[in-house]
Amino acid sequence: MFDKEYLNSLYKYCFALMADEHKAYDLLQMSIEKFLKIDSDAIENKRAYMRKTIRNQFIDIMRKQAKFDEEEFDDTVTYVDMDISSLENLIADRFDVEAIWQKLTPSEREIMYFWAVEGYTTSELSEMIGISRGTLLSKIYRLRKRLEKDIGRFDRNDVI
Amino acid sequence: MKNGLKNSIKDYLESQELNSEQLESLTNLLNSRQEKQAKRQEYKIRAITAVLLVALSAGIYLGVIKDNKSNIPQLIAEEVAHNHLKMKPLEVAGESLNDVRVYFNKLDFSLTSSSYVANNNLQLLGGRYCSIQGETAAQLQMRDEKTGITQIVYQAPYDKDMFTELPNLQEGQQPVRKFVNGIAVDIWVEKGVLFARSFYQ
Repeated sequence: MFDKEYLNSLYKYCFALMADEHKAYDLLQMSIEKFLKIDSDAIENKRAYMRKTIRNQFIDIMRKQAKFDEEEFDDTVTYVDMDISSLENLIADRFDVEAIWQKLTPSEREIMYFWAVEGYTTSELSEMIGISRGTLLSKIYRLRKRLEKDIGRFDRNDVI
Repeated sequence: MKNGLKNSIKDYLESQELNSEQLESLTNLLNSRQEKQAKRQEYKIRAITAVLLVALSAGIYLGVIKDNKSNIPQLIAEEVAHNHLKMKPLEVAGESLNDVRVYFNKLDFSLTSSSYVANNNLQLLGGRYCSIQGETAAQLQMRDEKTGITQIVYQAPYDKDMFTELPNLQEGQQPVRKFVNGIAVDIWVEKGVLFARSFYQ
């Protein structure tokens, strides 16, 4: 199960959450150690379980540092235009992403990872990260506003 | 050149990879834990095997006991037939139970009459101590008034756990009859006493 390719895919997720190479590696190592302590034979979907382990471990770390964004939004508000696909038309190159990545909150980075790397839809994302659709749409709305602003700021053409 | 945000994020994250040192370290961690798990699995299998063996042994042992208990009438018959063939001399003579009762004061019970014996026209000659399956018993020799042939009637305290369920005359049941070396042996329970009667038929 834990071949080189799989370990790297887990590392990418850890990196998306931590936005730091060393912290991402530490998170991956801690999560693997935790996973190895349980009776993995009893688990049906080991990969999903492993990812959940990473996420829980990450939340633990963030809580200790009081950094995790647990802000709740009003589920009754509907942001019909702020589906995850609303991010599709934003323009940015890799350097822009690299520049803004650490400025995003962990939960925003997680949304970006599942959207861009794993190709999740809004519904899948909502289920994966365990928040209501309304809350997720609110997060996406705020994220888009921020990206519009930050990508503009870090646009290299503007600098030149 | 500007790309879509999605592709740029993907490119950026896809470029993040573990270096060879990190990969080796994680692989070692996984291998060491897998070895431990394999050992744990082996111990688990050994423990289960041991438990099964104990259970199997206990089952066989209990099965033997149960099997032996189901053969109690046969075991009594064999012992009684063996005594019948030896026909050891009397230790006390008497024509009625009252005559010999005092002699058998080492028994845990008082000699008692049996309707089954009375119905067969047997005349008491006397008796001696013996045992049935380890229980001290009275061996009473009697003469068949019709044939003149000696028969032996045994009396022993009836312990249901030891002798299992045997026919009880007071419940309208008939004695169980076994044959050993040409000797017929009837076995029954009456008035809380185990009776056995051996005779040539």
